[in-house]
Amino acid sequence: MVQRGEAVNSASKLIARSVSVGYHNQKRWLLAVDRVSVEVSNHEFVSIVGPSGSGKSTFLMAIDGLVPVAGGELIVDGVAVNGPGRDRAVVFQEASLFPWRTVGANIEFALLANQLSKVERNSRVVELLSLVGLSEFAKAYPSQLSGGMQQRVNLARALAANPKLLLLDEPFASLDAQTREVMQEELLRICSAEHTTALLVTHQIDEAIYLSDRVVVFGARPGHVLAEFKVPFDRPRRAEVRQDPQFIELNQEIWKIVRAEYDRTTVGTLGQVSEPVTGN
Amino acid sequence: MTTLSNLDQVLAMPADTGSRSARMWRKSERYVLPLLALVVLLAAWQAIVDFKVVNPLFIAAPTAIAAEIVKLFGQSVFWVDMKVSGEELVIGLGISIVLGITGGLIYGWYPKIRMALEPIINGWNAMPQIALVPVLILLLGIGIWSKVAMIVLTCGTTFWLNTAAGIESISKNYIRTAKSFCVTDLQIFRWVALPAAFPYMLSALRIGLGRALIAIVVAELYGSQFGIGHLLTVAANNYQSSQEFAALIVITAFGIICNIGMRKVEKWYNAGKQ
Repeated sequence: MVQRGEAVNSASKLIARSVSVGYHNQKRWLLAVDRVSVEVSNHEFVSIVGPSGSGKSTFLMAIDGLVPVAGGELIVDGVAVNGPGRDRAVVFQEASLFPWRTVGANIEFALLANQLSKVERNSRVVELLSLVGLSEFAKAYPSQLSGGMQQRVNLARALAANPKLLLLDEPFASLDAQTREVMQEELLRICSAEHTTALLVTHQIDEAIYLSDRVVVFGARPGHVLAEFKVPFDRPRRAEVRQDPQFIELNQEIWKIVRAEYDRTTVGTLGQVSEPVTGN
Repeated sequence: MTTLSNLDQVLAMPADTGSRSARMWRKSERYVLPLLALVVLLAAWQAIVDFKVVNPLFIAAPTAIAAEIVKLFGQSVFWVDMKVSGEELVIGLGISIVLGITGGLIYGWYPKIRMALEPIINGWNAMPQIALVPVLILLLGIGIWSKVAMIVLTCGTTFWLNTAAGIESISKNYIRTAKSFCVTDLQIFRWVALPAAFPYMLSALRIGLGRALIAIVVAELYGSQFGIGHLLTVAANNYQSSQEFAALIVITAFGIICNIGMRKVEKWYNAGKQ
C-alpha cells in the first residue's frame, strides 16, 4: 500500500491536494468530497473505486472543471484548474453522444473549440474512427450503434483533442459483461498506443485492477481516500492476468474495504441486520 | 398499434403464416376497412338526401357535391379565391415561423424571461384566439392582413410554445458534455440547443398548418372579399349547399395532404436520430 502524503512528484499530470467539493441540495449544503489528495503521473493509469455515493464521479467532474471545488488545490500539468479546459476530456457514462449528430460529427464536436480548419478536423476524425475500429460508421447516428460501439465513439471523441489527462466516468457501466471485457481490452490497447494519462472512476474492482497502475479506494459520504494500491502487473497486459492469484487476492482485499463501507453506511443490505447508522 | 384491448390478437397473430389469401387480406385490410366505412357513410348520406329526409337545399347529396367540385376546378373565380387564401397562408405562416421561433428560443433559453412571461403566455394560449377576428377586422379591414394577423396570433403561439418546449427538453447531459469540450455559450446554442429543438419546430409546422386553415376560414367567413371562406359565405347565402360542401371538402383535402406530408418530412428528418 502506498502511503498518503508522499512528496509531490514533478512528473505529475494531475495533483489534487486536499480537495473538497460540495453542492446545494434543496436548502442544505452537502459535502460530497472531503479533503481528497490524489496524484497521477505522466502516462500513468489510475482508478478510483468506491461504493455508490462516495463522490468519486463528483471528484472527476471537479477535475474536469464542471463542478467548482470548495477547498484544496487541483493542478493539471502545472496549471490550476479553473473551469473546463482543452487539456482534459471526459468519457461520460452514457447518453452523452448527441443523437442528432452522426458518429463522425460527434467526434468532430471535440475539435470545435480548437482553431482547426474543416479539413484538419476531418482528417483527425478519420484517424480516431480507425483507432476505435469504427471507420465504416462515420455517417451512422449513435442510436444505430450498439452500446459498446457508442462508448467507442465516446472514447474517440474524448481523445480527439489530444487531452493531456483523460477522465473516464464509469464508461462501461451500462454495457453487458462480455462487451465490457472487450471494451476494457480496447481501452488498454488505445491508451498504450496514445500514451494516455488517465483517471478512471468505476464500481468494478476487477476493471480498476485490470486497467490501472494504481487503484485508489474511496470511502462514502462524504468521499475520502481510504486506501491506495499499486497494481503489480507490467504492460502490455493480457486478459489472462485476471486469473493470476495476485490479481484475485488484490481484488478480494479491495472488495473487503468497499464492502465494509457498504456495511457502515447502509442498513440491512442483502437481508443482513446491521446496526443503524449513528453518524461518524 | 398494440393496445391492451387488441394485445391478445397481436400475440395470437404470427406475422407470416396462413394461406396466401389470408396474408393478402392482412396486408390490405388496413386500406379496405376504412374505405368500406367511408362508402357506407356516403351511401347513407346519399339515401337520406335522395329520399328527401332532409331538404337538398340545405344539405347536398355526395354526388351533387362531387359534380360541384369538378365544376369549381374549371372556374377562374375559384382559383382567385384559392390564390388569395394561399397568399394569406404563406405570409401568415412565414411571419409566424420567424416571430414564434425567435420568441420561443428566447423564452426557452433565458429562465428569467420565461419566469416573467409564463402567466401571460399560458393565459394567451388558453384563450380562444380565434375570437379576436372581429377586433382584427376592425383594426386591419377585410383585406388579407386581418387574416394574416389571425394566422400569426394562432400559429405564432404554436411555434413559440413548441420551440420553448424543445429547448426545455434538452438533457442536462448534453449541455454538460458541450461545456466539457470548452465550446462557447453561443456554440452551445447553435450546436446543441437548435438541433435539439428542431424536431419540435417541425411538429409546430404540422400543427400550425392545421390551425392556420381554421384561422383563414373563420376570418374570411366573418368578413372578406375573396378567399375560400368567402366562397363558403356566398354559397351559403345563395342556398348553394353543394358549392358550400365542395369548398369545405377542398379545404379538408388540403389540410389532410399537408398533415400527411409534414408527418413524412418529420419521419424523414428524425430517421435514425432518436
